Amino acid sequence: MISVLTLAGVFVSAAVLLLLALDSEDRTGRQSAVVFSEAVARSLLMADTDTLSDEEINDLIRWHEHDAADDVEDPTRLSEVWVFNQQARLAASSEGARSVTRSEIVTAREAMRDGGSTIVERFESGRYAGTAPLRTAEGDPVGAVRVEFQSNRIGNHFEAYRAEYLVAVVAILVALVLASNFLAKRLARPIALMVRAARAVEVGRQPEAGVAASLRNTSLTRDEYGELAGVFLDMAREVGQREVQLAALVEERTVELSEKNRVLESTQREIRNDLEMAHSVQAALVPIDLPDDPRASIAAFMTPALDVGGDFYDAFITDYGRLAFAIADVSGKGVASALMMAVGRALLRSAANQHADPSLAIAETNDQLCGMNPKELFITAFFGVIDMELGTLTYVNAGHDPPYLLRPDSGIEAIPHTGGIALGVLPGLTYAETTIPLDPGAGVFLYTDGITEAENEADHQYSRARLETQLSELIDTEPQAMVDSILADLFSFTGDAKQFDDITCLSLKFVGGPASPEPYIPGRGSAQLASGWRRMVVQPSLETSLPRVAAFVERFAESEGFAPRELYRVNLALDELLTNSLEHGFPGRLQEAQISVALRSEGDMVVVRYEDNGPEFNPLEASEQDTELTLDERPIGGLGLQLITATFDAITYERIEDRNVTTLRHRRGSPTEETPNG
Amino acid sequence: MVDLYPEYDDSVLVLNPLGRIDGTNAKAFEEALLGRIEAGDHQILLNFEGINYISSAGLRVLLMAAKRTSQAKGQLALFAVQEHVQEVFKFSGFSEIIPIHDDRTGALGEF
Repeated sequence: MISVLTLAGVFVSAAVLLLLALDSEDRTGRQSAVVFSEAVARSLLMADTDTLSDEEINDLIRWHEHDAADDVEDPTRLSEVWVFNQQARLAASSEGARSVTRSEIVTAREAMRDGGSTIVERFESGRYAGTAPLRTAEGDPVGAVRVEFQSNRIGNHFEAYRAEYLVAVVAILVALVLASNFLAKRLARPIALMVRAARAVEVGRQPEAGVAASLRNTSLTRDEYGELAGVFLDMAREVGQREVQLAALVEERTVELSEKNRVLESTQREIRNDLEMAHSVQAALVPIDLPDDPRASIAAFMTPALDVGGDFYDAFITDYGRLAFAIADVSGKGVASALMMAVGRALLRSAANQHADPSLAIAETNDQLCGMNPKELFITAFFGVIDMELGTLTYVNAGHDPPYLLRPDSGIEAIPHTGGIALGVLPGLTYAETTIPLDPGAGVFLYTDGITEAENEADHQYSRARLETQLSELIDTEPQAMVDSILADLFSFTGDAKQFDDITCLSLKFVGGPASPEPYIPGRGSAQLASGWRRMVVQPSLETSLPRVAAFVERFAESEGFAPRELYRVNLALDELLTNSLEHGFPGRLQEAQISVALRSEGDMVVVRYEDNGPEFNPLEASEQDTELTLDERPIGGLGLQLITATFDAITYERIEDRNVTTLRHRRGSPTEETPNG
Repeated sequence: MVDLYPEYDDSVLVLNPLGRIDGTNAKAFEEALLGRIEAGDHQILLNFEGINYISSAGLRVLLMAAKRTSQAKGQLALFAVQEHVQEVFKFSGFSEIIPIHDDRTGALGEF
């Protein structure tokens, strides 16, 4: 760019100089033309143009040449002279002059017009013509003189030295081009370097070594470029340092951040694991198998909210052979609530097997919960027990929303509250229970407020009213269909609104019907107990089990109208069987023991069924002991089984699958009691 | 620890246990009773009025005690055994090897 401009400048100046020179030459040429033509005209004053000869003209020219040398600073040789008469006809001409042209005649006439004036013409290559009027003494034009000459000043010089001029011009041009190139480089290079360096700095790098070195060299020069390069280098260095500092800072922050991130992630993972664990605990504690008793039909549903909640439901056959069911809602959310729910459900189950009365079971659960409730959570619960033989429902409501009693013939009805407060609040409370008749076909629907307080996107609650309407319509349906329909209606109501609380419900229908004669429903294993039997699962520890078995037998005796002493032998037999199982049945693997006891009265007969999963062992074969031996002959031990065979009227032993099942039958007022003491 | 509420009637040690003797406390009962025998009491009378239950575990302790006193030329006897407890002694044949008396006076008369 710069070189182009320089070249253009050089050319323009050269052209201007040339024009000035030419202009000066032109002015000199024109002046000469006037001077020459007028001098010739003066010298011909008074001459008769009609008689003027060519010789006279030639003489005149020679003379004039001599004369003019003093006249004009730069004398020019007259080459040709023409003289015209008054009619502008050629009168005479210098030696060797060419004939005149028409335009020259016109010019001569022009020069004579209006008192006369000198006309100058210029031709190519520096040739000039001057046409001056010839005058009389009075000054009237009577003819004209035309002179032509070659200007010698530049034109001739140029002509003469054309080649040299050309060489000089070319040389100058070459020099100019070289100079401009040099200048362009000298001026443009530092800028190009700075551009490259700036690009490097822009993308966060230092200028390349070569570029930086060149710039450093440039900065040593004293001109503005040097200064600029110096400033630029300083700036680049500063930017570079700042980049480095920033990078270090960013690095540091990145390390800090990633460390914090890692901690956060691991914390989050732990929390998630906790929540997942709590979720699975909650899910695991929801009974998978509801009691499959033909006399009752049960369906239930629970879905935890996104946060872990603490709802639970339960339904099971108690050790007393009754159908117990419960629904509960632990206050709060999160892992603590889920664990509280787990504990609460386990405690309630255990208490229900310990106490036949729901009020005692609930009081026991409450006491236990209060002893292990650091978070001061509480549980609202409804707990009911159905005696399927009597057709009664006995229940306790500990601060829970009243469930509904569903009677197909008289509609739905909220089950009256028993006035109990939530569990886990205060220890030592007693709870009231209520017993109501439950006819076959009647049902119970339990729920938590996760249903009635579920909100749709318009923040309206599902409400008890809507639940009641639904239940009224569903009063005849089976429990599973009822649960499905309620949930379908609930979810169509809530739509896409977020679920804030656990949603839990349980529907139960009492079918009624006769009790099964066998303690276990065929094909269902020992978990399912048929009606009429009181059963308890025995812990594999004598210390805890013996008193519980004794209490169990005592309660059975009370409820069946036996005097406790009458069942002394039942107690003793169970004691001996249990002691034998625990001492010999599970050497070193007591935790694997599964032992249960079941009692049932048949008329005046008490049937005892003892079951364990130890290795096959028939007590009838092991109890052959001679009771007639004397004191010293009697072995110590082996007495227990013998006691059993001696005290019971009928004993049977069966190996069922992996279990030993011993069944004892004892008739009321047995012969042994009638036997007088020995 | 089982409390035997011991008392002496002349040279006879009278023990008055209460409640049940079963698998849960038979060991403690054994230690208490055999401890007395080792300490030199070989004439032992057990008042069973307060015992309302005994299992084979309890019987086993009585059998051991009876053998020890017998070896030491002493004897062990019971009195005031409740009816249904007495059945156990009868069914087990223990009533044949351990004397059972109706009351304290009658029992002491046999020592």
